[in-house]
Amino acid sequence: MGLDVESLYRRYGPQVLRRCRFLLRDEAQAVDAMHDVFVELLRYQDRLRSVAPSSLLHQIATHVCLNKLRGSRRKPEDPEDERVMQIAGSEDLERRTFAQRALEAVFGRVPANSRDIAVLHFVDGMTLEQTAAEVGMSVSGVRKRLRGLAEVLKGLEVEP
Amino acid sequence: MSQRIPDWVLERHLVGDALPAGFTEADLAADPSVPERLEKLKASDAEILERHPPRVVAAQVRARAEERGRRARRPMMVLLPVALAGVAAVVIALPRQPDVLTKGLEPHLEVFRKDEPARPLVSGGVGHPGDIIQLRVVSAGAKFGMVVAVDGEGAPVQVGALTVPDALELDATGQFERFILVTSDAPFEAADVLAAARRLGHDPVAKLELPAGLKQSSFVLLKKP
Repeated sequence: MGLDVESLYRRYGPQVLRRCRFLLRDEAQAVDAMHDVFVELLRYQDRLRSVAPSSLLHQIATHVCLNKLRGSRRKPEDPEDERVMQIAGSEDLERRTFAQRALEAVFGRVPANSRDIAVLHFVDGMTLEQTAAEVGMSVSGVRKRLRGLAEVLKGLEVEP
Repeated sequence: MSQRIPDWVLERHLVGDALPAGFTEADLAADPSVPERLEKLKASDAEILERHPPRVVAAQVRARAEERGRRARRPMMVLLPVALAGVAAVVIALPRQPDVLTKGLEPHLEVFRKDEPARPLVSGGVGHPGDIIQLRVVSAGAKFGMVVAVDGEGAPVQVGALTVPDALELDATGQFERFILVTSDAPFEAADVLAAARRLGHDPVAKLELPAGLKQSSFVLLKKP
């Protein structure tokens, strides 16, 4: 049975587009990313976890947008945007392990991507506990990931 | 508790999903900024749904999903088979580049999507099945070179020797596509490079074990549907 994309979009689409606008700061790219988010939701529909769809879509949108931002050379518009760009452009743990399929991580198959986690924590302001709950990892796992990323990015400090 | 409720919590409240652990309705009620922020979000909802109507977006999403599904089922296709055919055992002379342009550079590949030639991709970035990829060899003074392409299945390598940008269509096989530029100042045996490439297996970051005098530069694209 297929997902009812229209109903899902009607309820969650605006939230997704706002998220994409916030991260990408470009309307056309944000709309394109929003489409991608729902495409990914369709693709992985048989693996959906029993989590709040808004949480899931928030994570997918974050991941999709960070991918679009990688390699982007636009100038950050404000400190928040600068942090997002910094995280998006970082080479994190996945570069070494390549064990990730980050979108599959969103669906609980493999550990989440460090950059995605970093945006939830450093940009969205989630605590370590909230971040861990969002991505389905332990607090210590999240802390470890963030520390790995913080080692290569200036200005990011992970609470002990 | 009268802390400012984060935006992501407010979004969740707005759509009627359960609040995240650590937040209660009482917390929302205690934040005086919540009513106004909720009104703004509702206005934004209306604006977005009017500008991007649900029926239209749903159709666009389904079309994109179907298109990607079709692409994922297609086998890898080399768009320039004449240029690539038979080059597995060939090492070609690389075009000379002025010293002033190559001083301090190491030989490497620049990789682009064909429709975005001004935006080089970053190694470790994402490619989608169906993307048309172009490779540009920066020889940086090296006289001979070849390019080996290895997919994430560790399957037998697809090999090309490139003098000018060629184009490949990414297939859906494996988790990544890796291009390795091997260069030298003297002719070398392509078979040695191929054998080394076959030993790489599934490892996307391992280096080729090459004879002395050969340099290598790797570029990896993660494949995302």
